Amino acid sequence: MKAIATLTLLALVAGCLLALLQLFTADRVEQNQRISEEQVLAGLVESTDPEFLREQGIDLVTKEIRGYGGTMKIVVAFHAEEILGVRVLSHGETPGFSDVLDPTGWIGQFAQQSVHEVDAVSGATITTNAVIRAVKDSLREREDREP
Amino acid sequence: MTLTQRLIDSLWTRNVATTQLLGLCPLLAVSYNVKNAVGLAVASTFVLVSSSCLISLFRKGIPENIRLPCFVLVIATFTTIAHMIMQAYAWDVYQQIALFVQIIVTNCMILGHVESVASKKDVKTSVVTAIGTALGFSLVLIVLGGIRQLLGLLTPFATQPVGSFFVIGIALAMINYLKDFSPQGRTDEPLHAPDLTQQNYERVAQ
Repeated sequence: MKAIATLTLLALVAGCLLALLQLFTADRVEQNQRISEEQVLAGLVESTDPEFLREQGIDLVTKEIRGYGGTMKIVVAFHAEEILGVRVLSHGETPGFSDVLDPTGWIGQFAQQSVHEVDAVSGATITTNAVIRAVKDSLREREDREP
Repeated sequence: MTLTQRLIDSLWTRNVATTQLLGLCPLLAVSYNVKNAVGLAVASTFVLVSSSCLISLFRKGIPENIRLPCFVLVIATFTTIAHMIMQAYAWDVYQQIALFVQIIVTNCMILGHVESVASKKDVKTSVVTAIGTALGFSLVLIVLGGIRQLLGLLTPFATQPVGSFFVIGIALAMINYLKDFSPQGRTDEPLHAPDLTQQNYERVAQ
């Protein structure tokens, strides 16, 4: 009985402490995330300003999809009917295997060829298939939107 | 044992990383440059010292049979705190070593210290030895980070994961070779060897 009480109390205190800390850090964390998302997109488009994007005819589609280590946030940039490029904003993939998500690596292929010609990478099958699926989803979504 | 002796002990003679070979996983994975090594060293030190302090403070209130869940809960809480603070104030480093900060929870250096020292000794002793242990670990981590970063200038092999096994293996061999010439000699036994007196045997057997 004492054991249960101790553990419960300890877990409660720990949980409250973490929730409190989360309140304090959430704003800064979100800000950091926004900055790094902008940095990721900087290599793809000159500015993420919605006004600028509309003028250039660039459409950014954000997709959240399940990868190997949790949710991946993927952005597909379209210019007219073409894919300008695909970038990953955040992911939880295993270090090393996530190298395919580097703009100079595998994920760079989407800018050059049709999504149907891009193959998954063995060893990082789940990660690469998830990205391919996200790109296909976003293509389909655009088709539905523009009759 | 004086403070200087204790310091030499934890940095050299019974260094947690080179003698006891605890916490090797983060050591191998993160020591490819100094910046990441410092980040992980600070996080590990924080978790080790604060969880030792807290557990030592409440050691009499923790029932024997559920001590491990309690220890892990405390360590996990401090690890999450370190993780959140890094996420908010050290974003650069966080993006590089986020995964390795999370697995501080399973670092046997910390659980080992908590189990063998903090849950048995008073607060002062456990905090002092925790700081010593953490310093020893940090020193090895940062020095290896420096060595690998420098070697990386010559050959990228040293900064690759495979290279870490080679560099750390050779470094450990050299350290043990040097130890044969130092006055303290080699010591394989941990700082606080398990107290296997008759009374303790009975307690464990129960």
